[in-house]
Amino acid sequence: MNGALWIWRNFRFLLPGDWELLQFTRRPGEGRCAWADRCAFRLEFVWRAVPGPPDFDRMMGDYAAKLETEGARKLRRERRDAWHGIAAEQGGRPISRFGAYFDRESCVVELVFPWPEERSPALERAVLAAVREEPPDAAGRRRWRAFGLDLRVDGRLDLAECRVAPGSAEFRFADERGRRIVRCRRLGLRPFWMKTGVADWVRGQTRDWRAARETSERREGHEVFRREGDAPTGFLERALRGRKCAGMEAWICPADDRLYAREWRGPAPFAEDEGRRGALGCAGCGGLGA
Amino acid sequence: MTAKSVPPTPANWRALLAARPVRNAAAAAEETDDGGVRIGVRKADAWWRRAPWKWAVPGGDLRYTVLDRLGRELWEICDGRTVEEIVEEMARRHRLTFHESRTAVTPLLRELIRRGALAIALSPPNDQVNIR
Repeated sequence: MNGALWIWRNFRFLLPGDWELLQFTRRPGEGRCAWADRCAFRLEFVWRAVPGPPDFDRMMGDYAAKLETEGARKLRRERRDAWHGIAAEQGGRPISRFGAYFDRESCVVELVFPWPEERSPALERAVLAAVREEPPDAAGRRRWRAFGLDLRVDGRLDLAECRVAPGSAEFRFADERGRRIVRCRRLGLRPFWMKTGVADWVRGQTRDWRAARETSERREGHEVFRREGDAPTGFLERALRGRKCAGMEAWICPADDRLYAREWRGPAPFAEDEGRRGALGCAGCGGLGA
Repeated sequence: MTAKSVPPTPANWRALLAARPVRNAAAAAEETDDGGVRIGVRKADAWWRRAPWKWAVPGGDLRYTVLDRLGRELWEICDGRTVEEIVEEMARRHRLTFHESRTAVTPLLRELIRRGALAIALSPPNDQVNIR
């Protein structure tokens, strides 16, 4: 399958190119995502962190019984490699569900395929075979890839916010106390709102930073503008925690004409590390690879 | 399987995408200075809009909807195409994905229909041939 790569909550998926992520949850413990083609939902990804591998035989039996009481018909147990599945008809449509346990993430994952018409075993097999855990890299950075953003961020940060609107996507990662923050954005529809160049846009976004240093470089066909400095802090915060360093880099990807921006804030060692090793890439052109 | 596993959302957009919004032929559209458009639609008939009451009740016979440049583009391509074709066209022009374009286009179409600037055509366009 010549598909698109998605990475969410440390799981990677290879899905048909016209499937888009329309629903998502940020919580790492338990949540769901749903992808749709242009007409209907096609795949649901449900996860739940568990202390150890579950008893799949019993779980599938209970699950089949539950589906039967919910009106599912023609239930059939199936197996695809590590995936335990149940195929059924629900509401007059075929639906197949597969579950598996992933050791590294200590997580039970369920994939639900609500088929619009006929079930496609080949597509189902291809999607299941491509599901993998995405381990952190050697520096402990986690990769996320969705909504045209491909990024690597410090593994100690959680996804605190994800905002998606037409022509705009934003991920904000933060630690528990909100002291370390990484924010990645991808903004489209530029002719309607962007009246300046990238450098001026970055300066406008970081107007209150002090002791700012600016650099500009060409990276893989992208003109990247970077600004680093001290983010404003209150007197007490500065006295207790020291400087809050910040940085931002931005560029326009020629492939999709969108503005990409990555911003980080935190104590000096964090900001230095994030500035040096953090990465944001354009999923569209595959450039500035994360 | 997972504790709170829920059946997948049955939502699909087929019917919505197949609809054909068309401009209200009686609507008066005029260009605005910022490249948008001002659409005037006649208000529904009511006793206070007839003489002699209308001389005392403020407001004209038309209700105006002002659209920005993007809204104007959308208004102009509502020429009998299906919603799916409109979404595709807007996605192509502004380099959006299909669903980005759909989530931008459909609320505006809904609002324009509510305000009477657009209507949903029930019959197929003249050039459509139905093979039976």
